[in-house]
Order: sequence, then structure tokens, then C-alpha cells
Amino acid sequence: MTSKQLITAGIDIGAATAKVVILKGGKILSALVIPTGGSVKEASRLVMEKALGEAQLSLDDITSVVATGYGRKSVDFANHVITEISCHARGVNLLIPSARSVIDIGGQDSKVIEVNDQGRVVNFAMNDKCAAGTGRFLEVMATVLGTDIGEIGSLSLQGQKPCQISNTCTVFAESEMVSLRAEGENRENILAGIHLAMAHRVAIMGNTVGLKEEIVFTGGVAKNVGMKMALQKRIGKEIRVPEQPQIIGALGAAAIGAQRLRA
Amino acid sequence: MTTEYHELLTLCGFEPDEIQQQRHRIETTFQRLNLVAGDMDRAVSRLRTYFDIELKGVRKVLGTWLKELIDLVMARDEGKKLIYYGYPPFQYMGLVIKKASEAVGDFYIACPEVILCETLGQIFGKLNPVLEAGEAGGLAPGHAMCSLLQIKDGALSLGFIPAPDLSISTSYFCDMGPKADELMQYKHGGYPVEFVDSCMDSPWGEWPAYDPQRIHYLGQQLEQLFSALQDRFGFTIDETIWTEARKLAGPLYAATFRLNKSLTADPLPLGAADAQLILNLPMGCTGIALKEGAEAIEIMAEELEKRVETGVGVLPKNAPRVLMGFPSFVDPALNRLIQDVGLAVPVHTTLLTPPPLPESPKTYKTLGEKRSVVAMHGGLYHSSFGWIGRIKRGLDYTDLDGFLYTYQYSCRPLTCNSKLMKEYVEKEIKLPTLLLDMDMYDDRNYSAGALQTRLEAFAEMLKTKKK
Repeated sequence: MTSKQLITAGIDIGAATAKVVILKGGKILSALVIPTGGSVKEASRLVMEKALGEAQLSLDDITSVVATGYGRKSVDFANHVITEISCHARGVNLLIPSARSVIDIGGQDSKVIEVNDQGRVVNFAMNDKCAAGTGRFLEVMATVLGTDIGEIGSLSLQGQKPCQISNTCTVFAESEMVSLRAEGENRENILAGIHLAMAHRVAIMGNTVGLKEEIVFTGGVAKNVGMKMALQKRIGKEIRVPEQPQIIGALGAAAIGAQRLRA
Repeated sequence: MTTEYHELLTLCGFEPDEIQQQRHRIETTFQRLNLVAGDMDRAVSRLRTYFDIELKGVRKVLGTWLKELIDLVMARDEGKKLIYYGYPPFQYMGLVIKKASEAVGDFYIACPEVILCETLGQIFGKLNPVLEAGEAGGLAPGHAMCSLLQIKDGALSLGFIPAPDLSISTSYFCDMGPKADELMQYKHGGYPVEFVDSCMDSPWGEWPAYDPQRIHYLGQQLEQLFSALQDRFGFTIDETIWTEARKLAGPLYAATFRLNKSLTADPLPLGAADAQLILNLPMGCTGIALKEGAEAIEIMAEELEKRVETGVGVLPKNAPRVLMGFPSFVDPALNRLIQDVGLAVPVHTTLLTPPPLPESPKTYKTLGEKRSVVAMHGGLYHSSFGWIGRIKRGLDYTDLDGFLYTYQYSCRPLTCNSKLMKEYVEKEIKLPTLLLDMDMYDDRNYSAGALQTRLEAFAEMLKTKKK
């Protein structure tokens, strides 16, 4: 089998979602996202089964499976385990070779990655200790405001006067939301303030790495158009979002698997 | 209880007759520290999981720490006078006081919180009750308060260690030690405290130069301490004592120097968790560690030389080599994780050789001033720039692939300079640097899982670059 015919899979088990990309000769055969749920092992098995079904393949057809994400060590059918930091860098490079910085915001963490022209990590920073600057922060705020997580981004763009959000600690910010609502502040302005506060956290982290253009935004939170706009506003540079930002880690994992087989 | 601790002590290099002879002291210590059969089992399991106990030297070093713990807990019962000093200690200070005190009586001199870290933390994994007692006593976490101070207060509150006859509290590195000691003085029977004040505030770029007034001031503070020790206990500290005290640690430093030579080998013959055990012997202890610790390190050095000769390492050849900031004093799992992700740690920042002194200490008159110059030039007690500059110079002549700057998140001096450290090292030395925000004394303050991703990604990055 030539390298062009090699079929590899990348599986990214995140805190919120499990993703699989099946790759053949640089072409995506299937890409799938499901909720991780309570069992990482079960989610990894299920998402792989579904992705294989979509591509009309069996696990035996896959030459290499590379696992990534926080649940990467629990994927018992993986041939290699690689961190999501390396995988996001490689995945972005595959789609946008001119990218030099990656902002990845997932369910439980956020990262800023400097990447070179070969898709290798040059530098990175990751959020410390708390949920500030993560998808979880947005989820909690959406719940407090009685809004669907899928709508908060577009709603935030309707805010005419973004509220000043003092706290990025998820717990303290939650009580701040309650106070703002009690004062009669409208939902859109609160959401605009929340997005700017979170963008501020990510930008500070980005400063430790140095954000270089082009900047690409990945992870589940990249689907939130309000967050993209808030980051652009705070950073002062254009930010690109791939068509399917959630699958970039899995895509990079599959690409690294292919690269290793060719080496 | 004999059978319950026998396996642990044997694993830690105790001889059978030693266990028999020390039985009363061992059992009294373990009872006082609430260490029961389950704790012994957990300790054995931890040692087998995280340490390289195939090496007799490692087992002996672990045993040395346990003997220091027993000596600390039993010191008052055995009629000794106790002097505690803070961490990081002024170089040789504990040893000097130990040497001087020999003329007048039986003293136990140590940094007790470090001994508790290495034993209740590293070996038993049972430091949380001590930390919680410290928190309950007023040293709450997250208040810019180093968790090391919680350990000292907690251990005094629980009656694990005796209140000292004197505590030497120093602010040449951080002023929270004196603040905490004042609180403890109030809480624990008003034990005497001697404060050694200083100032580590310097303009960016000044080191290795320094304002002579700072030397005069710190020197004078040290002279006041020497006078206070003379008045209180009747022993004298002078240049002769200082020279003799340094000789006390000679075998320990010589053994460490011999061992360090093996750490230049590739593959690296010793892991980060095991190397950590050596770091604090000369910093935290002045007792049995000087002799038995030196012997244990000599054994380890010999074992490592054999590994180097036969090409045996704890990691494959060509593994990325990193300078490490500060290892955890209490969590062998974290130290071991660094090895498990494939990073070789041949040296810690605290073991880097300082640059030569630019000015002879003889230009200063008093012993205090002469020692102050040396301390200031070490960088850590000078300023953020001093510490960064010291590390930069160390890196200049060390063959490394990266810098893993693990630092204490609740330590004000270290937290303040961490970002500067990364920027400066990456810019000036072109060495990839990972900042790892952790807690050297309290494993409740970080998530091992989150740290693992950072460490693995850093290892992947360095391995790719090395190829």
C-alpha cells in the first residue's frame, strides 16, 4: 500500500465532545462529533464506530489510530497517544499552512499555540487552575441567563453597551450575572460583556506566547461567532475559523499518524 | 507495631539491629505523628511506585530522611535545645550554628518544615492534615502565603514537632516567613524569634552589582543574630567556626559533586524524583544527614557510575534534557511524571554553579558582610533580575534542550519573576521554556492531569526539535 492509500484515524476525546477524523491521502473520508458523556471508553468506541460506518470501513482498514484530548490515554484501540497541543498545530497547518498562531478553546481548557510552517509547535501556553477562559465558563453563564449555549454568540453581537464584567472566576462571575439581571441589565449587553471578559483572559495568555498572524481559532468555542468577534476586537488582528473547528485536533492526530507511517 | 513498620524501614535501608535499637524512638515518633499500619503500607507502595528503589543509595537517602524525622520529633524528649531556621536558608547558616553550639551543649538545628515535606509528604503522602491545621490556625491558602509556612504552623499546632528554643526568621528572600513566625510565636507559647531583615529590591539590570548599603544592612543583621545567639546560648560565631562548619558539609557536597558528574551522561542514569531527595539534605538538616546522607549519596554515585559505564539510563538515549526550576518537595508523582513523559532532568536551578564573585569578600570588614556579599551574588536573594541572571549564566555552560520552569504559585518572589524568566531565557538563550505553575509543598493546589498535558506537549515539542 502506498502512502497515498494509507488510511489513518485521529480521535480527540475532549471534556465535552468526542471527535474522530478518518483520513486517506490528505482527504477526509469522515468526521464525526458526539458528546463525551460519562464514559470516555464508551464515547471513544461509539464515535469511532460511527465514523467508520460513515466511511464504510472497519477498524481493520485503519493503518494507524492516534488518540488525543484529555481522554487520550483511555482509548484502548489507539496506536499512538499525542497531546492535543501538537495535534491542533498539525491540523491547522494542514488546512491553513500560513497559520502561525492557534487559539484553541475547548470545554475545560484554552491554549495558545505558536506553530511553524511545518505544523510543529514552537511555543504554547495553557490556562491554569480554573475554568476562566474555557467553554465551561460560557456554559455556566448561558445557564444563568437561561439561554441556549448555541445562541449566546450571536446574541452577544446585539449588545449595544457591553457590561463591564469584573470577575472571570466562573463562580464569582455567576453571582455577578445574577446581580446585573436584578439591576435590569439586558441579556445581550451582559453576554457581550462576558465574551469580552473571556477574550481578555485568552489575550493575556496569548501575550506569553506572542500572537503572530495568521491566527486561527479552533475548538468547540470557535463555533461561537461572538467569541471570534470579541477576540478580534481585543487582539486587534483578524482571526480565521475553519469550517469545522471542533475536529481540528482529530484531524491533526490523523495527519500525524500518516506522517509517522511515511517516516 | 514492629511488624507494621518493619517493611518500610527495611526498604529504606535500616539494618535489623538498628530497628531493634531504635524501636522506642521509632514507635514514639510514629505514634506522635498518627502514622498507623495503613500509612506504612501506603508509604511502601509510594516508594515502590515513584522511586528507583533498585538503587541502594536511593533507599539509604530515604532512610536518612526518616532518621532526621525521628531526631526532630524526639529532640525535646531527649533533652536537646532546638533552633529552627527558615527556607530557603542562608548558605551554611544552620551548619555554622550547629558547629558553634557543640561547645556549649546538645542542640538540634534544622528547618523542620522541609523535613516534614520529605517524609510526611514524599514518603507517607500524609501532609494534608498538617496543612489543614496550618490553615485553621490562620495561614489560609491563596493569601500570598507559602504553603511551607502552613506546614510549620500545622505541625506545631498538632504537637508533631516541639516548639523551638529559638526560631531564626529571615526576610532576605521573602518577608512572609517573619509574618508567619510572628503569628506562630503568638500561638505557640511565645517562643523566641530572631528576625534577620534584608532588602531584595533592586533595579532591573543591576545584578551582579549591588548597592553596598544593602550589604552593610544585611551584614549588620547577621552580626546582630550572632550576638543574640551568644547572649541566649553562650556560643560564638566567627570566621574560624564558619570555616569549620563548611567542613562539616564537605563529605555531603563531595558526594553530591561526584553524583552530579554521572548526571551529565546520556542516557541519564537517575530520575527527577530520586534526584530531588538529595537537594534538601544540606539545606534542611544539620544532624545525621551530614554523615549518613553523605554515605548514601556516595553509594548512589557509585551505582550511577556503573549505570553510565554500561549505558543504562532511566530514559532512552537522546531524550530531551531540561533544566528544572524547583521540584516538588512533597509529591513524588509529579516529579516522576516529568521522567515518564520523557524529559531528562540533569540539573535543578538551585544546583547551578554560581558565577565567580566580581569582588573579593575581603573588602568588607565583618563576617556578616562577607557572607552577605556571597549570598547577594547567588542571585536568589538579590532580585528577580539577579535570579534570572544567575540562571542565564548557568545555562550558558550547560548542554540543554529546554528549560522547565516549575515554580511555586504562592511564592511572591518566584511568581513575580516567572514571566520575565520565560521571556528572557527564550530571547537571550533561545532555549524553549515552559512555565509550570505548581505548588512545591501542597499537592492540593494543582491538577496532575492538567500538568501532564503541558509536560507531554513540551516533551513532544523538544523531541521534534531535536530530530
